[in-house]
Amino acid sequence: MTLTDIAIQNLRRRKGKTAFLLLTFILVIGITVTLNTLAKGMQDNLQKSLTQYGANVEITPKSEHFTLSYGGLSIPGVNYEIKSLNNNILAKIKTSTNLMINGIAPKIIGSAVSVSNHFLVIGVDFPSELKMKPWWHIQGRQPADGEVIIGSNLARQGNLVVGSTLELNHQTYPVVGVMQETGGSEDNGVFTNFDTSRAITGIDSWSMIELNTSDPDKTTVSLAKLLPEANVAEVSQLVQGTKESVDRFSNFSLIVSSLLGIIGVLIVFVTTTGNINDRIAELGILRAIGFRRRHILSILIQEISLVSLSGGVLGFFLGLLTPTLLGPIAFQKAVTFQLHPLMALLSIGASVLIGIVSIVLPARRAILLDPLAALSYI
Amino acid sequence: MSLIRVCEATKTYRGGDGVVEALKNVNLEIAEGEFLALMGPSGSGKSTLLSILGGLNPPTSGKLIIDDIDVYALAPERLADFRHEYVGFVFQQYQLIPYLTALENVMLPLAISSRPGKEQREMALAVLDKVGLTSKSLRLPSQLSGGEQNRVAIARAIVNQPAIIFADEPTGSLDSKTAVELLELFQALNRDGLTIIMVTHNKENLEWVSRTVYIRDGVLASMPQET
Repeated sequence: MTLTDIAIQNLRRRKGKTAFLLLTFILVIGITVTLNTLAKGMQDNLQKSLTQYGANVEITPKSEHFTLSYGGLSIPGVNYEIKSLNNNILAKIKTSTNLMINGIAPKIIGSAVSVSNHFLVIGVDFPSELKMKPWWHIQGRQPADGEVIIGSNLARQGNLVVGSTLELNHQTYPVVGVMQETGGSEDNGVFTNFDTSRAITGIDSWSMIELNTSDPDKTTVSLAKLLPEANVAEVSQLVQGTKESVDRFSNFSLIVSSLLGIIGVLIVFVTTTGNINDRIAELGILRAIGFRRRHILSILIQEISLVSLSGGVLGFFLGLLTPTLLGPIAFQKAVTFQLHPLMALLSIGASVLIGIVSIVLPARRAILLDPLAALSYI
Repeated sequence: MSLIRVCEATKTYRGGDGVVEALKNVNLEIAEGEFLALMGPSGSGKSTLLSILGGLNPPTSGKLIIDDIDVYALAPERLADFRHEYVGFVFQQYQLIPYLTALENVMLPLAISSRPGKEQREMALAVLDKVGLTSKSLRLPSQLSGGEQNRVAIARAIVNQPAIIFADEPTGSLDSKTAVELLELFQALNRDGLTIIMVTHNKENLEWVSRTVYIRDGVLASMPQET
């Protein structure tokens, strides 16, 4: 027989009190984990949206702008000292390991003329571009050297189809694809690869570099320091509103979790104080037969540790399962079951800590009581 | 040679009516192997004296020497060790731990020893056999009669092979037949060399003991004559 056996037997045979304490821990930890799992699920979904779709950081050449004004009348100014984005910039971005970049899409953007029209010519790397913009659907194929694809408006206005030719700066280029309507500026563009766009526009540096990153805020700040010769801007996304909602929900979860922690400590404190008061005489007997104070403390701590640990583990799994089961009903969204080791460690650790903190005062009182005084409770 | 020596022990309590002197300059020597009865009317100080003798209640002044150890000069945790090693208690209401079986209750004093579990179990079963309760070793206290609970309490008191047993009104809540069985058990243990000090108010119990100490108003006195 050990002190642990005494603690276990007490918990086993005082089923009602043990069950109440266990339930308290399960609910406190369960609700906390549920809220945090939901918040994390929402953050993950948002992050997935951010990383899957579109560019969220844009790099453009830096230029100084000069505004002309006279008598309150402003006239369009001029750009001067336009700096170019060369290959060194691209190399710098690619070799920076702390930027969390998922995709890089540099572009050469210029113009070309035909007999009657001006055209916007965009040179891209199609594999990178299509990865970042999965809504681009090309009827036909991607262009090789000396070939182009055109936006849907352009095709409609010029009656151009796959197989037609397009005259740009006195050269004829076969149209090998037509991009389906996107509702954006792509609908009026002529797309080709880098070599052909350089040949058409005569531009040798990058006009713009679009990036997709997991953390646009941080990446923008880092890149602004890394590339002083360029303008780095975060592209506002529609998900910004969602992000704010998710942030609000995360803060709400944190506040509720903290409140639950405090309420948990109070409930467990009141319950354990009551339990220990009921057992003062019993602890007096143990002291009378030679148990040291540390023996009594060890029994009390082992009891609360066993209950809080079990409650923490059960509460954690309840907290993980609840969003999976209730997510589709409450949020019209499936929440996938994911085991988060850090969350497990924190929630179970918090449960044990709540237990230990709650028992400190009543346990101290119990062990400081002299045996005869404790026996007088009989 | 005395096993226990009480020297000029005084105990005072502060209560609502001021200071109460429960014991007044008590001197007492108890030899090893005695079966001593502490007798006296209610409120005479016999239970106070027993608790002082048992290392549970330090006297306001005076000394308790057991086996040449100045008991109340020990630090609190050493005093607990002393009780564990030298003393076994049988309380008036048995005071078994309600959620432990008879066997587990008997094993309690061994739980803080370094003895392995198997040895603890064997020792506990041996003393349960001695008090005639082997067959009920797995019952909870609530499933035992008063006499059986008393026997478990005695088994718990002797399992650690202490030098002295202190019993506070052990027959107080037993019928006469069970009380006799209990006193016979105490006598058998005493014959095995155990020193037993028993508080009782029942004169019928005195025929089982080797010496009686009478206490009245906190002082040792001579036994009153039957009228």
